[in-house]
Amino acid sequence: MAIHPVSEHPQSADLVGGVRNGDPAALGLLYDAFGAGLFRLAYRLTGTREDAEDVVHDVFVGLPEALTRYEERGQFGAWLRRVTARVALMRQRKAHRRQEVGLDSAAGVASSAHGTSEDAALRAALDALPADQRAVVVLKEMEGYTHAEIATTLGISHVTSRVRLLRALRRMRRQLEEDT
Amino acid sequence: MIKDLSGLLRALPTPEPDSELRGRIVASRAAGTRVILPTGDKQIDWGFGIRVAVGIAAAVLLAVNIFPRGRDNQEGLASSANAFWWASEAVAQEPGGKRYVASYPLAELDRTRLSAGQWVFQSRVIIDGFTTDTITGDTLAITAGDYGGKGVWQIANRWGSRYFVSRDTLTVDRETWRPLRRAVAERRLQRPGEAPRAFEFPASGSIGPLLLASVPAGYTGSQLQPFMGPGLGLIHYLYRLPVLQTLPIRDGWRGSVYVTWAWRDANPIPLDARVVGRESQTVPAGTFDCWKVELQVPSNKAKTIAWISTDRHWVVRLQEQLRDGALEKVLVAATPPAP
Repeated sequence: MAIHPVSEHPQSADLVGGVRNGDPAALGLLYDAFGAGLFRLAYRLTGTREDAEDVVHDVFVGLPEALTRYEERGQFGAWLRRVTARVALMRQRKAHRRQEVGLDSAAGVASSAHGTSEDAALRAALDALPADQRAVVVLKEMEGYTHAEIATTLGISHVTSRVRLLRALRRMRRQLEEDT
Repeated sequence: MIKDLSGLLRALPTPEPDSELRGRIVASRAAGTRVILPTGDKQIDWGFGIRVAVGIAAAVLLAVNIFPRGRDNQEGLASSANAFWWASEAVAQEPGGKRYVASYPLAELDRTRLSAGQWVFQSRVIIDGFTTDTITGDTLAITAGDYGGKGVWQIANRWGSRYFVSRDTLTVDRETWRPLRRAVAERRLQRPGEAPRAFEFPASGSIGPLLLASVPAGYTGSQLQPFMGPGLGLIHYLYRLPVLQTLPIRDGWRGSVYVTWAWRDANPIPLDARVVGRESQTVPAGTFDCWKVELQVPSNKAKTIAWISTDRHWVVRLQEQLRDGALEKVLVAATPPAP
């Protein structure tokens, strides 16, 4: 299965201008262009549908103000993904402090509803990772980020990113092999 | 031995977002919700920084004002990120702006017109002629009761979606409309519930009634943000519906009221109302002969239109214009039923 990068919308520059000016129609169109991809990213980072939807909701609701600080130097989609990842990780940290467990994680709902028993085992291994390691695995292995991009997004060095990835993958392999 | 762990991870299925999410986003923006995103952009916009600082300071001041020290409600409503009216009202009166006063003579309110009942509203967003239902519904319930030996009105707002329900109940003195107690409960439908939070307004406090018939001595106007709206956004509409019932509306009438915060009466918000005509309105709750009333906060050119029934003075439709559309609430059901 291919990685799902958020592709650039052909009229994203116009939409960005519209959203920046508070145009709700432009916000809706921007959601149409990027919403599904950002939801996938948020879901992979948070592990629950509800949290992912909350993340995407917050990102788009906050977009008009955030865009006043956005400089059109790089790809808009990449910037949007970076912001979404940050919002998702902030949410994860807060949930961790509150010791919240999403329904999907607690009952394995997502696993059984969306895939095979192998998928369920893999998701359980992913969910069992510490949040900092999980973020690196999701961004590198599932979203296709480079270590430099991960370092920028998470505010860590690229060496730390590599180390976390190696530890996470080792841990997941161990758990999956124990399960089988 | 698992060889291609990366490939397996990439192949993990992910669900699709809920089809209502788009509508919820647009409705949240229209309702005044604002979120500060961690963009991490290095370029510093000092104007934005100042606004953020002022916003944070306002939130801290409000938190201090609302939650008396020593009570068990320290978690505070501010932690309730989904209570959209909260953040909006918190930033609505940042200091430093121009001062505004009411444009018309203050209205003589007819408080006997307020009655017990329940009103259910549906939110809709209309963009480019397309109508989208947004959230499942908002319910206003007013009941008469007794609290500490006083006759009271309990004004309960309940709103939510398929994921969360929020309930906000204000107990006010039946004679003076002075707030006595407030209770807020919010819960995620698919997660363990949160305990409701409640507090009592101190009898000696400076918090006034929901509407002021006159302003405090020495009042020179209120500092208001230009984006402040009268209906659906920055003044939570469910709180205002019962008081709109008591305006002395008649053909050609115009008047103003000062809307106070539920927790303090400093810097009251002037709200201008003007009857611009009569129209028949057909909504899910029935067909009503209505006055068409323009509501406006003087700091904002945008108007909210309220259609208020001529018989019981119910708000049956409320519409706020957006840039390319409108956000509106329509009356779906009422108890007692419409005549």
